[in-house]
Amino acid sequence: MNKMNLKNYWIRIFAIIIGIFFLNSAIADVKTKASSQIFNFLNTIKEFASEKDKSKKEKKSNELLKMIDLEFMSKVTIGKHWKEVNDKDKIEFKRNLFKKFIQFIDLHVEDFKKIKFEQKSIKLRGEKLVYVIGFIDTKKIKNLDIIWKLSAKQNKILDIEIEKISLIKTQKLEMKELLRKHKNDFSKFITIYFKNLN
Amino acid sequence: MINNMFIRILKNKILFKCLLAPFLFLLLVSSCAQNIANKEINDPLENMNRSVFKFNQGFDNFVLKPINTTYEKLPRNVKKGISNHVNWASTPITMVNSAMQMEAENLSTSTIKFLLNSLTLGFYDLDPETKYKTRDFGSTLAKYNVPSGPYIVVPVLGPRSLRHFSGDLVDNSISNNPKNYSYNSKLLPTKIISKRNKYSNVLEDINNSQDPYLKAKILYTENRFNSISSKKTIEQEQQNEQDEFEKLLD
Repeated sequence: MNKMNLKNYWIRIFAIIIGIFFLNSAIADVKTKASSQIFNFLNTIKEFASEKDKSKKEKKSNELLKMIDLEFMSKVTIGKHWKEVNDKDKIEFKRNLFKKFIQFIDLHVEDFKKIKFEQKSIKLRGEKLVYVIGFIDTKKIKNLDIIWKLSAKQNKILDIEIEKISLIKTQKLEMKELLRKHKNDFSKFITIYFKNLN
Repeated sequence: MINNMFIRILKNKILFKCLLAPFLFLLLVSSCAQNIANKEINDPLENMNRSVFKFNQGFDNFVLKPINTTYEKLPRNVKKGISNHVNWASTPITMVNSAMQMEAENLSTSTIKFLLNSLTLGFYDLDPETKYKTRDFGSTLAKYNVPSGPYIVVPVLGPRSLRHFSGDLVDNSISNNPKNYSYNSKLLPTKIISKRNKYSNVLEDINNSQDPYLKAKILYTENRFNSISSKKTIEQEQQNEQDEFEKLLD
């Protein structure tokens, strides 16, 4: 009986060790993927910023599109109204949101060409989020704190927090106020909000 | 020193009206208030604020932008030196307010850093790794549960909450001699130009947004909330955001 208990005891210990080993390697895998995704993203942005050929630029922008979770970003920025939006407007909104992002890169093209990122740490937040923490140096400002927020499962960028200011949160607050001004008429809001886009 | 300052302000009626009246008003309002951790800033003076904002945009376009274009041509190290010096000169304000907020660590760090950088008159940061939180009288008022009050746009200086602006006035009265303006007030134009240069990208984004007034208000509110909130409040905010994100990822 004692021998049986001892055997079971060692089997349990072994199972726990194996479990911890797999869990750790799974966590390490998620972290490594997230880290390389950020470096890929920044490299693609640099290439996009330096590219002059239109078709190559478009190819790079498609690569960028695959790295960010536009659906999630739209859901967060529009909030509870997102459910009420029809499919056509949803597609239009996501398309324009991405265009706006590309326009932002074009506006700061010189900064993006020389952007440098140094990673400090990677943290798992709950089961679904990974934060890549570090700082960036741009042409003008050095040592800007930055947090890249990614989904652990899809490894896509959800949000960027610069100097504790979340881009998605400021976008959300802006859209909330503008939507209220347009009496929650989403189609009208899209036309006005994205009117400056080419 | 602080006692002398208060006696001086009380003796000077104009200063009393300008500096302490808003502060006392805020204290009075605070006695009825319960919640200060509220991030939202109400904007009952929006129409007036928008007019001042337009004025500020014009001032920026015609005065600050051309100055910034020239300033931009200075060598990077010179610009860094100016920015360091401006920050160094206003460190005593952080020291006094850290003491009032009973933040011993911030007080000691800012004091040591101030004394150390005095060797270079603040132009060169001898210890760039050590950082402290900038504290002003507005943050002291927030610490003692004074509500933020309405959002206002101050000519030339830009967005503020009433609490922040009242705090600025008190901070200036601490660092300046009202009869003979001291070094900090002389530095104000340099401070404005240095900040304008540092945040020129942000200003560009604001001006390119659909509603620049709204964008500036949101960015100010977020930035101010982060700079004056306690670690616990920020952690709570991050937790709420994480919960929201997780729900949406389902």
